[in-house]
Amino acid sequence: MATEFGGYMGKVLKINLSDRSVSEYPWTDRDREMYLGGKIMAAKILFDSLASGVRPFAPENLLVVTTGPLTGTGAPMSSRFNISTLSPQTGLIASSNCGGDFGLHLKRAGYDGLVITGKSPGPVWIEIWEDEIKFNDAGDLWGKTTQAAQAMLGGKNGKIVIGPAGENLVKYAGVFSNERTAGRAGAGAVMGSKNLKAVVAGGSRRPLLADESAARKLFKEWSAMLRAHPITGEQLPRLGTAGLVSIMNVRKILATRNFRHGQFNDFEMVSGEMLAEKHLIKNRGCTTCPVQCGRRVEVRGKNVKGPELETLVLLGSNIENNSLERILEWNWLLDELGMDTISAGGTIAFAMELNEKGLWKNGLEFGRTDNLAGIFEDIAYRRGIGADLAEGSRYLSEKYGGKDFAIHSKGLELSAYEPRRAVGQGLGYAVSNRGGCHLNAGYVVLLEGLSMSINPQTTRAKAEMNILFQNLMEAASAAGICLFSLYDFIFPFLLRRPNSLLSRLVNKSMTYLGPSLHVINRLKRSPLPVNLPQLPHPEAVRHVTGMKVDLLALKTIGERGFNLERLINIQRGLTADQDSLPKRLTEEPQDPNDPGTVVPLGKLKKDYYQARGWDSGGRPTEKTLRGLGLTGGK
Amino acid sequence: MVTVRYFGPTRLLSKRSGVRVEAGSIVELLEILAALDQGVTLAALRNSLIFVNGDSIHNLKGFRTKLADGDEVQIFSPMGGG
Ligand code: SF4
Repeated sequence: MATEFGGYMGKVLKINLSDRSVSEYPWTDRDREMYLGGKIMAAKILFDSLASGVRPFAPENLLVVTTGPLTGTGAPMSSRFNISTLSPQTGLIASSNCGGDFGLHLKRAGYDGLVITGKSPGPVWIEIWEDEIKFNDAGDLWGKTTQAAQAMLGGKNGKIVIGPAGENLVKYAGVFSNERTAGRAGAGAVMGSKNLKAVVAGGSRRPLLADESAARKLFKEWSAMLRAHPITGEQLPRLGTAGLVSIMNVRKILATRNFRHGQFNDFEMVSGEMLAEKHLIKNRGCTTCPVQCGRRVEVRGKNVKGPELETLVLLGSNIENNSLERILEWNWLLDELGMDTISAGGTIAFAMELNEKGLWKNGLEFGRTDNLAGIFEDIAYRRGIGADLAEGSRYLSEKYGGKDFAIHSKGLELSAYEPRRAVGQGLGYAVSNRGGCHLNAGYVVLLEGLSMSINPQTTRAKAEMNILFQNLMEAASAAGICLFSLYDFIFPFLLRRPNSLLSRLVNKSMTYLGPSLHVINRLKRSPLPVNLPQLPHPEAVRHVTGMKVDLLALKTIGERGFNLERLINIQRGLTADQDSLPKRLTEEPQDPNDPGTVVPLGKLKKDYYQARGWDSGGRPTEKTLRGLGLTGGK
Repeated sequence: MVTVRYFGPTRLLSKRSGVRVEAGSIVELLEILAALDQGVTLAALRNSLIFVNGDSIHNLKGFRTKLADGDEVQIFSPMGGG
């Protein structure tokens, strides 16, 4: 189904592993205009194709791998692809974004996306070379770690693989491409359930751009802008995401001891500064990215990928481990075994507290690290207590108790930010479509203490901020661009002059801007194009595809995507009760002397549902759906 | 004596994690620090996020915040990305 638009390859491939059939998934230009690509395109495919009652590990579950129109065009930060499926952790929609180069190669093979269904009778890997699709026996690859499997597959083509954790259906197994991970929500386990070890794609095709010279010029300017911004040009290249540990500690939002505290005495020992001073070999990141926020470090004489912030926290402060060396080793080990470091760390912390409280005697203790490497292997192979740990926190809390301190939302473990001192982030965790994810949450913590200093305890305007960021992130991701590109939304002067009168005024006044943000959130189009110079995303989409979009149009596509994911979740039985956080975060004050240090979730949720145009049960109203062109069912 | 701890890019520029100095206020402290470290300018320090014993100077008296013996001052840059 060819396309009039630039940037796309115009074809989506559907592969059924049960009967090894291959066909084209119908995807029209109208779909491209409505859903753009990436996670929103995947949500539409899942919405249209998944029968009700399908379980995550059923052959009928789909694994939808998608790119955006900017993927592989040379746009900065555009080596991204998305994997969506029904998550074995949440039973709801999961979308996971990855910076490996698979998406780029998938487009070179001639496809904007892959829709994989069915189940192979035995281990298989798929080879896609332009129009030639081969199903290969994966007997010799099965059991291999993620790097070993990729090395065996060889060549320069794009690859996605799973490790032993995915094969053994560890609920939080990820999908790996080079050293990058689509880590969250268990897409690797779904791949394992289909007996699919790997997909390799390649070819010599290139997307045509609607206005090539304008696009190239813009990409150059955009890269320069990213390099000049304090976050994407200075902090991320210098310290990576790991640089946040210290400021999170002073802001009391550093998840510590299974989210009991927001500060860790030994935070400096597991900080980005320590990583940079003691272990950093060099920066590394995704292809075509001027930021290169990834790290290379040395572990046992090997030059390997270094940990991100989330890993430092979930395997550091949150289990009271102060050994950075251990984290580096575990990060490498978990990648090799093929599982998400966030959910692995969160589950271990919960198990430690269950043990401490005598609810489950398992030998795991806060601060004890000598036994954890073995435990991670046990999880991957489901041996001993690893079989239970492989199911995640929600399952453990149902089996052993401790629901009040099982730190997950909808079944997905929370990431690194302790939200009782950043209540907007707390709201985001609760309403996020994929569960306890900081990014799908809207990442309002950026304003509540990382980049800016708005009041982190007030509920004022937090719902509106969440919605704005969630919608923009959906759109950036659908376009095929890294979410970190949106940090440039924050005007550099606010970061370079945080003590100036103007910055302080902006910080003070932002929580009074709820009504204005609400108007912006509701605005779907305007007679004149609306854009922000620091967010060139719409201009890039315009030059690449030829679609007439401005920032409002992109934001509306993002809003459509968020609501579509919500609809899928509602079809899967989601109710407002599941937009929740454990009682530890909503009823147990972080500071026992300050009852205000909880997430006032009831009030925040009410504001959020109203501002989203959802009813009190958290369902998008008919009017909201009509405004987004989502009425009319499948 | 006041204990100063550097974090983020400032720490990489100053090439040290911290220092102990005598200073009666933040404004005085920043001048001392700028004179002490080649990589860290007064302007950069004045544009940092500064905390005294865990409290932001925005919630104290800003640069006029007084310092007492034993205080810990933490100096950060605004951050993003995670
Ligand atoms: S900022 Fe980091 S995660 Fe994003 S594209 Fe660049 S290297 Fe990849």
